[in-house]
Amino acid sequence: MPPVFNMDKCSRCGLCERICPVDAIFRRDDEDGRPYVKYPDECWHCGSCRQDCPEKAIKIAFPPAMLII
Amino acid sequence: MNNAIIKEFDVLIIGGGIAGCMAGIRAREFGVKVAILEKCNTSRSGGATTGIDHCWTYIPEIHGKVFSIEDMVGDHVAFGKGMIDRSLVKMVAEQSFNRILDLERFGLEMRDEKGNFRLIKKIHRAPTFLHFAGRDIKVKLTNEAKKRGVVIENRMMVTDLLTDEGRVTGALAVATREGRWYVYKSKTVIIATGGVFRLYRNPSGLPFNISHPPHEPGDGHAMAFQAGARLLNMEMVSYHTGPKNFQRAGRGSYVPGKIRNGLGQPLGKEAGAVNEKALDRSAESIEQFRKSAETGQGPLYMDCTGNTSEQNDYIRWALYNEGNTAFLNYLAEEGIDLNKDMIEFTVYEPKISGGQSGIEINTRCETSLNGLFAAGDVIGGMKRSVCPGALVMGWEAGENAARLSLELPASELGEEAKGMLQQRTTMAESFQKREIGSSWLEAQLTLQNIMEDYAGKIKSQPLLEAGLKHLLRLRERARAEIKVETPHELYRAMEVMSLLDVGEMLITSSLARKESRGVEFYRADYPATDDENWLKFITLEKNNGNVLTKERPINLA
Repeated sequence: MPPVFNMDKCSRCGLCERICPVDAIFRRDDEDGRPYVKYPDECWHCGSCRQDCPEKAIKIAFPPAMLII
Repeated sequence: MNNAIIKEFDVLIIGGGIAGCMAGIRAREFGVKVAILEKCNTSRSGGATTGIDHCWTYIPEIHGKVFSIEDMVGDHVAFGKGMIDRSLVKMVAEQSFNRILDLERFGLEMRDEKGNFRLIKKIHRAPTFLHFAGRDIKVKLTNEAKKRGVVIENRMMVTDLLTDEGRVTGALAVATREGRWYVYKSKTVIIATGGVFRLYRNPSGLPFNISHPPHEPGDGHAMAFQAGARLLNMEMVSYHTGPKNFQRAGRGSYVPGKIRNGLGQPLGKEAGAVNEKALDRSAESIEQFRKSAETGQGPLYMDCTGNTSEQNDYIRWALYNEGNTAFLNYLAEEGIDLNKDMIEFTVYEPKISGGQSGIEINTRCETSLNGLFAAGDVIGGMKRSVCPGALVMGWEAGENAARLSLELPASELGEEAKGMLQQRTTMAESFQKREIGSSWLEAQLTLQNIMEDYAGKIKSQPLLEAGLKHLLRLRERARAEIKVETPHELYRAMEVMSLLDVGEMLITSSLARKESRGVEFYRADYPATDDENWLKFITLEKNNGNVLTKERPINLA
């Protein structure tokens, strides 16, 4: 699972969902509106979400296939 | 027209990367109505999604003492082994510094703390690669564009240009979240959609683990092709080296170091010394990677352990601004230290990027279609146009499109446009209504198999011809079989249709070039480089349903 959201830190601002360049992040269709990765296989691992999250609530979990050392 | 929402502009820009944003910013200076249609979000999209740290340029007060613009053009043409439109290089070289100053005005730090430019020597005889803190260039360009009244429509994928008797009249787009169709009427259109990626399979096997933007699958190349515009050098591909299996956003930067093979031996021209060109994407270094793997010396590693701490800190600063934040994040989490550890490198899959293969333009960024302009990585004929190309061409295209729009009457949507809307929405509906079908991803994988097997590193007539047959069959099957469940899948399916068009162009152009030329193009049946007969561009265009290739002489003056 590429972006991993820390829901305690997440302010539900929706920035990650708005900027994801591969349209992989969506928000729950409820009062909470928390973000989730709807298309994890399409994650580019660009880190835009992690980089821009104002609450620093996102970590990237790199898949095994991306191990370099 | 069906249920499409109709909007109207004077200058319509397809793609909101560096080129698209610069085009929008400049066009608005003429007071005309400007829109950028961006498939993702302009704050984080295009080749500089997570940042860019380098931009080659000619700074008159610094370079004027050392060499002339003509010298720089000459060096660039030599780097491209002659296969370059020098008038485009001259335009970019001449205007590049003005655009650098614009970036400063837009709030980007182009200089170091002492107010000096960081210049590195790469492909020209003098240090011309300007390093700067460009991590947030897209955020800043987006803000500047909005401030000036550019209408930015994010999550909007253009599928087709609309034309009327050889002139563009607008574009057709689908909103990628809503799934709703939009018709944009416009007096002029600028295509700034970047390069083509996902055409070949990346070595890690993860479909989107690629070094360049996965949201650039050649939509601009395909729409220009379908509208009858001319493209250049669609047979040329380029390669890139980088951390093995870790392709993500952000690419090479200035990384001095040694390349070592698995036996610990340093490689490269200056083996044993810190080689500034260790990450050069030249034919020589690509070949080194291939030979090492094939002759028992592989893998190959990037070795920065011999650098000073200062050099490695600089590398980290550069990588951070170049957008390799995920890579740096990974290194930090895994405790990998450039001062102590070597990084395994590899050659990535073929791609179309950097202005080498794409839409043919002149120095006004005009294409062969009336009212249609192109800028940035989507163009053809200027290898390594990259950032300065996007900045300059974006600006020029924005200005020229705006000026032209002041002279033109409003666009009307004629029968041709209605036909295009009908065709595309019928295709979309068939994907949506199908009960049983296959996924867009299966079609993409099949296409990648075809490109790998028939239009890969080693080409030849029988392979290319077989590949083209398979591709055309795949397109028919994709049209008849793809099933989509969501608007997201619909736009992915449309991207696959773009990739199919680019694949067709690549193979068709490859058949036309009967020689080999560097790593970009190799044919086993014509293995030698033949400047006498083939120092020419191959142009390609659709005419009455037929795909025609021609030879275009290169202006050597």
